[in-house]
Amino acid sequence: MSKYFRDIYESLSTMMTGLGITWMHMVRIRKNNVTLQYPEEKWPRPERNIGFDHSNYNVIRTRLHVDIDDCIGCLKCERICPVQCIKIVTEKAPVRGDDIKDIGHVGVTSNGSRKALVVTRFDIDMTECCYCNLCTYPCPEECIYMTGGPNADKHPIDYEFSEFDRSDLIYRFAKPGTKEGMNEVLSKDGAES
Amino acid sequence: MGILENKFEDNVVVAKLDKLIGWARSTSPWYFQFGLACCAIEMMSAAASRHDLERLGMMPRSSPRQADVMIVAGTVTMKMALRVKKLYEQMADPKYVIAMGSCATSGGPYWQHGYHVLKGVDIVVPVDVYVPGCPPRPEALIEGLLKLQEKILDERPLTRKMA
Repeated sequence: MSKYFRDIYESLSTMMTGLGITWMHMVRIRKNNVTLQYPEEKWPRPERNIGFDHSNYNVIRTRLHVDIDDCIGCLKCERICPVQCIKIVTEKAPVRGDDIKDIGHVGVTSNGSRKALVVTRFDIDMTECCYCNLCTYPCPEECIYMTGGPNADKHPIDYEFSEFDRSDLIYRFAKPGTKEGMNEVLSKDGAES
Repeated sequence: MGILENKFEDNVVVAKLDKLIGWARSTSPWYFQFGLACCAIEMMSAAASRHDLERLGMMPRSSPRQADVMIVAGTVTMKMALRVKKLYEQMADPKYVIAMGSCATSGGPYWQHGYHVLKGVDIVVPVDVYVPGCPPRPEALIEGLLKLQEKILDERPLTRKMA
């Protein structure tokens, strides 16, 4: 008989212990929950540690971005890309280091180097990119970089950019109309000389 | 897509019913876990408690019969492409596909010299949302699923005014 009541007491007390833990979690839900409420809140992305100072190395794996005004068309990023997802076409500028206002071309970069080439096509296919960061190291003007992290002052972080159409994921950084504009500029130049 | 389509005139009741069906479909897209490579780890992480997908009504199912969304996560080889197609055909309507990661979107790092890799899963099945990344963060996958929710909400299953 006493075993019967002891069993009832034990079952009730263990149940209350378990419910107490649940209740404590419910009361302190905002304090020690683990879930990231994604669309409302975003946490900073962890930066990859490669054993060097983060301020010197561009170490984050997000979308690539190009400041096309600073690009001198040296093709170093295109050559180092292990999957050839960067496509660059350049044309010779009529005058070295000169602005071509018709096509929005800036002659001198922010580092002070005078551009000899006009970039008429700068496409990065982000569906083929493997986010290895190799293209950011050789860039002499530091104009190609992954957004956010150490480059947050240049471009806000962007790592979720899904699209309904695959062709929208090809990012065209060269200014619109550069190719036709460049042909016009060159033909005008040739006609004068 | 379904048996109800093109059976109704366009009026207030049908339009409201359309919206209700779209809302119901968009808030419970159970996804078919099709983890093929490293992206599957991120998909598991998205379903686990840190990026709890079930708070959006998305639940991983292991059978194509119970699933609405197929998340193709990872490198689709030529051998696997036939199975992707077969499993997509076994899913019940309405069905959606998310291509997760570079490999499923366009072949990724194998797009040029990969002799055994399908260059994009959209060759065999119609893809609704492409999630880029190698692999994408769980947040990026959730963003893709939210985009898919918008797409489902815009659909008009009864009057078939596809957005």
